[in-house]
Amino acid sequence: MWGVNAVDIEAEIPRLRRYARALTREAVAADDLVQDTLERAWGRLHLWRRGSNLRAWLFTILHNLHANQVRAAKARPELTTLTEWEVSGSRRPEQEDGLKVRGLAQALAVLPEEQRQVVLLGGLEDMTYEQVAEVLGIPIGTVMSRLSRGRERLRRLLAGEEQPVVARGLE
Amino acid sequence: MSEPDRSLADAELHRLVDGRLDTTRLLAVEARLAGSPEEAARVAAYRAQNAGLHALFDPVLDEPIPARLLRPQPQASWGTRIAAAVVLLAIGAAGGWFARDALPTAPAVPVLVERAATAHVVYVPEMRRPVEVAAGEKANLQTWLTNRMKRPILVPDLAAAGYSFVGGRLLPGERGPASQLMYQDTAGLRVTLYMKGEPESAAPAAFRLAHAEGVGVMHWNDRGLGFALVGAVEPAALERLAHLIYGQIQR
Repeated sequence: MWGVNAVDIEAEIPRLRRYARALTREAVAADDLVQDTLERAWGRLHLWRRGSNLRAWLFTILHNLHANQVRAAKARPELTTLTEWEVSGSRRPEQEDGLKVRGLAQALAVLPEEQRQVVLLGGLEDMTYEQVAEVLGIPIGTVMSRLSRGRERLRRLLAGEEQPVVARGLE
Repeated sequence: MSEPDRSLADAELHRLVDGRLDTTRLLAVEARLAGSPEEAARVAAYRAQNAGLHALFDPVLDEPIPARLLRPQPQASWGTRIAAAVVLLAIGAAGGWFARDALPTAPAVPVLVERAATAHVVYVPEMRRPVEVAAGEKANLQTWLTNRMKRPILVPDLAAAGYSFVGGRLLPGERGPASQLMYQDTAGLRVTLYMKGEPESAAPAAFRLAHAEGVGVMHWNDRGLGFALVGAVEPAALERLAHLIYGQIQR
């Protein structure tokens, strides 16, 4: 009844977890995302065309769910009390001074989400640029320009040529 | 170099880094890099980034997969299911407690899902007395459950999906009665529909899929009743049945 699909999907779980971890940088949130992805995949297995790339399909689902979550988080206004606002506001200059990017993980966190996605899908997940375009639902030219900007930004951050500007109170 | 030329040249550097150049282009780009230290340095930096990403995140590949991400084994034999039900009765709450302890931040399984799944694995293996009131007394069952639940309880007809009604029973819910209806297909595969009172929430009915006790659970709320459809069947099949039930209860 399940055929080969159950085994195939399970075989993709480690890679989905790796990508989700790198994307969200938070282990529990990453596994939540993978769990949602798997549940949706099981529910829509009839929509998957046999012979098409299962990994790309699963990554597409994961990406769409993540995009929904990011949009939902943006749409929901943060509840900030006046006291918290003042505290974070007063600490900002100090944080900016002290914040140095020492490693790739931190530099990755500074990248805009759209650049982080292509850098990870192309460089970590070893997808072809065509697959990256398919997963993210964007033209291949956009993949290349985001890849170019993302990698160059990482390079400059790691080389100390650029200091990240993180305005925490305004996020 | 013009802007389009520059981005073409740039794209080729990334193709080189990611191993996406054919031999002819590979040789051409490498020859170009020999005369361009700036580009060669960028290629080295990008390669180091890829290596760094693997060093950072490849350990995730070797981590054991959390149980919540693994699909419960469907289509277990009756023997396995009876054994599972016995084990479940034996370790019951303790097992659930420890499982939750191990995953402190995992979203809690809704009470509805937990109770529906437990009722399913307890009663579904019963060959002689799977239900309290058999299908022959459907009208009486509906009246009885409606009176006890203080809400109209209708027995959905799942014949269109190949499931015949076996019967139903009244069960204790957390703060009042709950109902379980059982169906089976021609092969004897059983699904159950569990219903219990829920606060009249404004949230519209949404189907949610969960896994508990090794079975799939499709659950939703509708006008003060929580519904949980339980079965060791494909989620797509559960979803079809859930839509069938929802459609009939709406009428």
